[in-house]
Amino acid sequence: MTTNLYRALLELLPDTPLQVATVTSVNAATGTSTITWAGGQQQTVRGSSVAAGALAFVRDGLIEGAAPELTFLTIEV
Amino acid sequence: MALTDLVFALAQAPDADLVFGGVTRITDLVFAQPSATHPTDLVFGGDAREVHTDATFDISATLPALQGTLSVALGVRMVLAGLLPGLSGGLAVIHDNQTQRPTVAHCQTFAQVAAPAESGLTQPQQHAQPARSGVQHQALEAVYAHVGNTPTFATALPANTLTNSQYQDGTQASARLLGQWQDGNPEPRVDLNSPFKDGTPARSRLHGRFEDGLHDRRHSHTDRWQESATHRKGYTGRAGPAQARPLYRDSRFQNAWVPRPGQYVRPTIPVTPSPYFGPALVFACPPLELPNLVFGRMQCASALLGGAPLYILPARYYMTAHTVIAHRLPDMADIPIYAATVSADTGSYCWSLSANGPSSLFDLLAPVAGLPAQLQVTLDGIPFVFAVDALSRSAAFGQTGVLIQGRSVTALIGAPYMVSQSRIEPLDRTAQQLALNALDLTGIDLDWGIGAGALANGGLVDWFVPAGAYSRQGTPLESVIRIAQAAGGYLQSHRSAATLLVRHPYGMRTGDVSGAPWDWSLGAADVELAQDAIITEAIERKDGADINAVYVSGTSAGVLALVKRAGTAGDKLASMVADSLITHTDAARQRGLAVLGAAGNKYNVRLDLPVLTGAGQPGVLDVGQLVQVNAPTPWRGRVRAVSVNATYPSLRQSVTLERHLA
Repeated sequence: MTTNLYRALLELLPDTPLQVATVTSVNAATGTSTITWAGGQQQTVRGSSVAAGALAFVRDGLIEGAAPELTFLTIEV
Repeated sequence: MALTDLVFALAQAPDADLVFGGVTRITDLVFAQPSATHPTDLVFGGDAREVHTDATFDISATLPALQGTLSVALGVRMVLAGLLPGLSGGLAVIHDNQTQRPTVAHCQTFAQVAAPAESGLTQPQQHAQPARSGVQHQALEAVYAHVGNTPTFATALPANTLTNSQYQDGTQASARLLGQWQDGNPEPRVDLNSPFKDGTPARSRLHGRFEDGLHDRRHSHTDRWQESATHRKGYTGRAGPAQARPLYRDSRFQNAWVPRPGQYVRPTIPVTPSPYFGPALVFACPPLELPNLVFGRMQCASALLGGAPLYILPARYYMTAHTVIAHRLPDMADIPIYAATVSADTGSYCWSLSANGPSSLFDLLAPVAGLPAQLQVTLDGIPFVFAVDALSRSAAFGQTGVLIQGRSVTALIGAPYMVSQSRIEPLDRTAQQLALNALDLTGIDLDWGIGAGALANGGLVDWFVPAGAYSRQGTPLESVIRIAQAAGGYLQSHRSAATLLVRHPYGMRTGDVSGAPWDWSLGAADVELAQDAIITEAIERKDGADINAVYVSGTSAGVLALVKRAGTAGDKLASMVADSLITHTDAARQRGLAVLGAAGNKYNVRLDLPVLTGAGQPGVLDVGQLVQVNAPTPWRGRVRAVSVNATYPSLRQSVTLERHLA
């Protein structure tokens, strides 16, 4: 929620955030990979540079590179 | 050496094996150290017990001289015996047990110090002996052959051959030039007979028709008036010289003097009476802030209002007298302005100003040495300081004016006043230290706020950022914004000081109360407003996504956290947030709270309020304050934007609240 007009305009524009997901399988023939998001949902994205089972940086349906294994926490607010 | 020979270079090979690869075998255990004074034991695993050899002290002392009286006579044989005192003294030996005795580790290596194998090199060739064979010259030393040169030609003799000239020297032929004309005779002169001779000046005589007049003939003048005589008239005044008449006036002021030495009276701690819950009628509120007769448990207005530190109480009317003054900093020159609007919101890091005034401001507020002029606007005694960003002067028929646009002075560390810098943090830091590093030498202070505990004011909780996780490029302002946004925070500027405030939209509130929207009903609000004070109210529906959990992740280092709202299944996920500065649980929690707090159904409520600056009254509200509106059904919301409009004679503020629906 914002009252700033410029921020409101930015929120209307499409945003492509950097995200981290686990690569489930790699299809080298088509150059795509199936990834699993942290919530369990799956998606097919372009890029086959990261091996199955590893974490990858994903932005806008494209694997950007390998992501490190981070400590997992559950925080309640 | 010919290439075909197989050469064993090691002279004393222990075995005759052909070894390729040249790994020298260690077959012997060689103690390379020289032998110690005591025999060296080879200890495996046992504790090395060190034996100190006896120490020898050399003591030298001077004994007292032998004294006595001795009478000597000749021929007497005598024996002299004396007893010297024993040698006594003290020897202090200090043994310090508390010294540091590092564990001396003996490394037992499988390799010993290599002893050079004195094998020597056997060279297949011996030293070459110089063969003294001498040099056989095939040529003798050349002998100079004294052979004369026989010139083919002898020195040529000049042939004195006479040159027979066909011509002899010519004789000058003195040819005479016969002129046809001879020089003319200047003698014959032409006699110029002029018809005129030189004129003789004719001295003509001027005969004046007038001769000089006689000067002694004067025309006589007869006055009809004789010289006047001064007529003196006496004057009789009715007033004499004025006399000073001392007039004493009562002054409201007396001469100032240095305060006389006084006496300090220790203030007594006022006794707080315990609340009374009996059936008697108690008038417990001496200031009569609430001049109504209240029956019930809540005895005073402050108790009735739930303890909010700032409030606007209900009243039939609110009477205010406004002052709007502007000064130029630092010389405090008066700046006349007609109207001003001062505003701030969560999306911008600073207060901004829009004001207009006469056209003379165009020169008064011109930038000095490349830096914008600074303007202090005081609204009802609340100072705001701005750097003047833009000045626009307009002129139309009959009126001229200047429009002033300004921002808080913290804008001076952004573009275009500061250039972009790049930096990698090579050491372990906290996020607040990173922000302070970015603001180093800029003159801008940082108020990180207090993110937890009893004194929490909605600031951020500091978190740990390991070395290398932080790298930035940008102006100092952009760096601080980036650090604050990593934890979901936003920046504000102090109203009058050059200080950046870092705040979280749902940060902890005073009294260690959670600032999440679902906990806004707990604890005391920051400001309470009576409904009477609300001039206008506008409500706009502004719903957020229906989510209750979000994954928050670091990139190269840090944590991957599922932040979910307590008491929910965490099944409705927002899209993941990844940020390189989420390196700690605290950062992940605050970032997740910023996402989850904005979710759900909510309103944007815009209230127009008077600016009341009395004791306990809020004045101009601040972004981030929790406001309770005492409508028939009280509700609470946090301030997200403030705009103060000062147009003579009114001074009103417009506040936008974020109100969540249950």
